Amino acid sequence: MLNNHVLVRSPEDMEQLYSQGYFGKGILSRSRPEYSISDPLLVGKWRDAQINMPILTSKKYHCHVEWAKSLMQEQGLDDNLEDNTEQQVSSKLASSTEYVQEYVLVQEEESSFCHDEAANEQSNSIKKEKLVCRRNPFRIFEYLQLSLEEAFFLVYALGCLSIYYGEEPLTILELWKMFSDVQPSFRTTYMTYHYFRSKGWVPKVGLKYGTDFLLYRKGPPFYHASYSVMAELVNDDFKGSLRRPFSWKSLSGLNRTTTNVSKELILCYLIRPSDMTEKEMSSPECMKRIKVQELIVNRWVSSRERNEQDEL
Amino acid sequence: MLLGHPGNRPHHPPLPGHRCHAPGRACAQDAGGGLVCLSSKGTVLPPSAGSPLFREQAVSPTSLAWRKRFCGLQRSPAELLAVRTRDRKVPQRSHGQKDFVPDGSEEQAERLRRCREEHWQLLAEERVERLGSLVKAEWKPNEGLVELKSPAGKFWHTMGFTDHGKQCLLPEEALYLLECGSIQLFYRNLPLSIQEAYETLLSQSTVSLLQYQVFSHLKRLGYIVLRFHPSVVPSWYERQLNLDSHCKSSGKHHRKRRRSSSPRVLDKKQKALGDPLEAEETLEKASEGQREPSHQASDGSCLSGKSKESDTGIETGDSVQVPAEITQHSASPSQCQDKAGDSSNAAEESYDGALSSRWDFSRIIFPNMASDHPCTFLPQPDKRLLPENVAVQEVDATRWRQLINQKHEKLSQKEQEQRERESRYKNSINADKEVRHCSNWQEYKLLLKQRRQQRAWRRPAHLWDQAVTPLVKPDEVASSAAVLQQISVLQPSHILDGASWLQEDTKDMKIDFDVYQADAVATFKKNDPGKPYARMCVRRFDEQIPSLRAVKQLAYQSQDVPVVFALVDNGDVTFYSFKEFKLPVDVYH
Repeated sequence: MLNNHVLVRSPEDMEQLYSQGYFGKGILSRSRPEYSISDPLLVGKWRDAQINMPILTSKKYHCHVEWAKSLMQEQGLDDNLEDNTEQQVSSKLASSTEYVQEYVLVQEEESSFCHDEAANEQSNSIKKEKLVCRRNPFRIFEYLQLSLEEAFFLVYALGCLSIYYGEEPLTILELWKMFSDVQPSFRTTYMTYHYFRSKGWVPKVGLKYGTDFLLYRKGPPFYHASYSVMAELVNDDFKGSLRRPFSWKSLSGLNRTTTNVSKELILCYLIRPSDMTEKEMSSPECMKRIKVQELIVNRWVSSRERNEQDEL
Repeated sequence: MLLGHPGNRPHHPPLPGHRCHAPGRACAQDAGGGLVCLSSKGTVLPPSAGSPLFREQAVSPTSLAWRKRFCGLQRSPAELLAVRTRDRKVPQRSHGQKDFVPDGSEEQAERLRRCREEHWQLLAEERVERLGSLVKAEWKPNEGLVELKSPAGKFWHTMGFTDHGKQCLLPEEALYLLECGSIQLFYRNLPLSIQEAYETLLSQSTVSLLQYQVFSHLKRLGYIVLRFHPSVVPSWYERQLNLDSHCKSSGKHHRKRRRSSSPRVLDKKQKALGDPLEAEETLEKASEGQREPSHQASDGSCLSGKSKESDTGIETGDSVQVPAEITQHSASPSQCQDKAGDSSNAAEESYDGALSSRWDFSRIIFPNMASDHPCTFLPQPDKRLLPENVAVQEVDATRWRQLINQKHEKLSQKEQEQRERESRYKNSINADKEVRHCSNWQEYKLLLKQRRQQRAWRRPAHLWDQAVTPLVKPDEVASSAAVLQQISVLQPSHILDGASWLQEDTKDMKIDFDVYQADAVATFKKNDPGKPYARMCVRRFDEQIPSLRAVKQLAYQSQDVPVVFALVDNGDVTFYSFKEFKLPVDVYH
């Protein structure tokens, strides 16, 4: 856990987490962590060669070299990039103990004109391009970032994740407390997350549409999200201080947005018994006593054709 | 061309002599309606609110025209002919492209002026009605009703009621008909103009302006709108007995009799009336437990007892029903112990809700007749526990117990073979020496735990050795369905749960109207309207949305008819409803 975020670093774990449940988001990607430093054009060009290393343009490679140099300068090291110092640099750059050198293929031109730009390729008569294997002096790592609800779910409900703060693993109760401190409404959103996961739906963050969650049926790659959910915690007499009090105006605005993207707006109320103490709420076991009520917001148009009247 | 204005265009001017009887789209919108709600969604406010817009309308030409006629001014034949041959077409809505920004040009100003003039012309058109076809009505402020002085017209089919032999209309209906041009409203022998009618008929004690706006909006679209009466809503119980369809289907054979379809999704907190119909409920519903607000038995025992109850039910009439019977049928060796007795009695208590807690079950003893506890002598039970006229003596149950088949069963050859096969891989738990050493349940569990820990996989201590452990063990997962089952700890709730005792403070929100679809006009009967299509609750647009509590209250009041919130924003009405929903479980990934 780093800076109040939960990060997963190992690539195998990332792959597993994402593909088996669509947890988390790659920090350098749109959703699935698939960042690669390969230049897509070059990949297409050298496709037939069947290489499994990233391919860079020489320009990009030089950028990497520059970055590595500036980093070493900041750290007061010798900025001479020889093979042995590369090792040093790499070990400083990498924070994990096992570091594997990344090799990249750099497309370089063999030509007598050393400093021609790539754009002049066509104008020159003979220019051979070849791929040179070099060490990447500046590796870019992509991590998988898990939202607090996802992380807690993996720890508590599935028991397959351990979260470390510093070097110390955290227990479930500590996590519950820590997450509630970081995010004040964590308990409400977590319980909603847990509920929808237990129905087999995949909730992802609903920031784009102004709600708490978007529900995907099997996962994002399969269908577009069908529902967008707002969660509220209320007491036994069905009233409570709302996280987000709606006026009809804002509700109709949100409904309009949701309808435009073919989703349905669900208001999810978590009803807790009024005798639930704060102490009880400080453990995730409190969920056993909480009830969930879902309501769909539906707009009725009164002036439809008579023979097309919708069932309400 | 109007500067970005949607407009509430008045539609065709009505034909002379036409009455707004049949709600239809063609001519029901009329300049009368458009008059008061002026084109730019003009707010209709009582003059006291001092809106300048309204004052403009106060002296609108049409109301003057009405006045003129009532003061005896008739139209000359030439004028009437002119009206008749008046152009029926609605003028073009827009003239060319819409302008979004005023640019101060002469052209734009001219276009604006022309549009406005067209608008005024339309609004200023007189509505001419045949005097004879106008129904005369009188406003009675004491009763808050409008009494018809001449026979009603076609509108009588869906509006109005009869009171002491006289035909009456509700104020909102009268106002609507006035706007349509079907009635003439008198008060103190003077005809009321539309403005005056708005002022007098819409007040605190009758209908508010918002409610009237919703009413007229729906009426103009063709719906039948009646006031809501909470007492007329058939309760859950009545519906279960199909009493409501009985009322409705007097002679209507096309309506299918529903077989108690409603109870399945309804309120589980209904008072257990102890009637035999409850036993027909599905086991699932019963086992979710009906929590009685007034009884003291614990939930756990209630649940188990209840499921037992529904199992046995009325059909088998098992011994669990009445305590006195237990002394008679002592044959069942199962669970006659005190604890079980208590729980079954507690369940029974909830079952006969009406006869609650007459007995103190902590003091009534249920003898253990099982084979491990030979109790053959049953003392005479307390007379108070028995029904009248039943005398019971002490019983020596030895003879009964002998009748119980306690012999070893002789297995057939096939069964023996099966047993042998099973014994090869199945072990009896009690055959384990270590298990036999355990003297109570706790020790047994400890043994199991030790054994588990001896297994290869070592679980992380920070997760598994704590007070709160994960819900699922990663190495014990059978299928995704099983995982879902294990992690479902949150309980679902129904919209009507707990709604029955929320009825005290209904002052905030109440249902205003019942709405019936326009298709039902032909078969509509005022005395027996049937189940409405929806019920309306009129609110203002700038309020907060109703809390869950309010939604539950309204849902309970309305039983199985959906409740729609009609939101009024300066004359525009939008409708929203909150539907009960349960997300389906998606297991097959």
